[in-house]
Amino acid sequence: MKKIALLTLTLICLPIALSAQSREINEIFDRFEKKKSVESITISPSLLSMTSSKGSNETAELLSKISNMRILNVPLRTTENGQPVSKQLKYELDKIIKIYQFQRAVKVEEESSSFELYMINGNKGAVLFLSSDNSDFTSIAIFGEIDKTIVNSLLNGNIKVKK
Amino acid sequence: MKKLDDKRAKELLELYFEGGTTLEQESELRAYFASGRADKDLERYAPIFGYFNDEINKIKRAESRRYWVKPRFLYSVPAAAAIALFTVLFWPQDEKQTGLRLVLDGLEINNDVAALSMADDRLAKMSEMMERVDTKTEPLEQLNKVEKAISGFNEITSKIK
Repeated sequence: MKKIALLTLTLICLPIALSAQSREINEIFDRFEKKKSVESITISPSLLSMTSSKGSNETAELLSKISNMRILNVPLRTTENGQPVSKQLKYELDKIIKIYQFQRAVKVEEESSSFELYMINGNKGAVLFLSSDNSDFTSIAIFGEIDKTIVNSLLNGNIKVKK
Repeated sequence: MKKLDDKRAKELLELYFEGGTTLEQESELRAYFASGRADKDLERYAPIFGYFNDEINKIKRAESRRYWVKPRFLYSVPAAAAIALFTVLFWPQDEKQTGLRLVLDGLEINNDVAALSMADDRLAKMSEMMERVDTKTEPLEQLNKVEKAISGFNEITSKIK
């Protein structure tokens, strides 16, 4: 009986824990979008399209897995209390990546730019894309049912905005 | 409850045997005999009230045991079920966003065209970077192709032998 009660409580807590990283990322984005010179865009999946060889049904099914997409762009020159805002954002996102043990899919560092792709698979998963070049630090967060097909579409550059 | 003296205890005993005592008076008699200072002439009546004391104590012990077990064990299962029901019915679900939102310099801008254009730029930049990953991993893919070709050749030579 005690085991059943414990199992019930675990099953209740598990989905809550899995979406916690999405909540925290959203909180960070909400906080930083209020800062000066920061650009923030929130896009619903209905405004996304996919360029791929798959049929329209498969494309629609893939896009239906995405529940939300957020883009945050911080110019490197923007500072707050003498500290670059882009560094503060990177620091906070790196903390989330570490706490929730995101998997790193890609990391590329070049002379003038760098980018990384992190993800947590699952029904309430998330993908985090962090990139930096000479002018801006951009973070893109995608929430939803993250699996191999979504990640491959991202890696192949197939997800775009509808025109 | 009043403490009885011997005279009063005798009066109450007579009344008890006539069936005329109240519950409070019977409690007084029990306390009188339980005190151990009862009159010697009345001591022969002590077992009657001692028996009742034993029965009362047994009932009290059984009730306190029942009360002690319940919160520890029986409440946990219905509590877990209540939490589960609350979560299923009332926990806020991740709702799909239904539109577009652009914030610049901390201000919400009502301009869908600008928002879509900026989003398109950022996603295009991400795609461009991902294409560079393909370029960098191209040598690895070439190696994979060579390995596959060699393994096919090895298979043929092993069959010839």
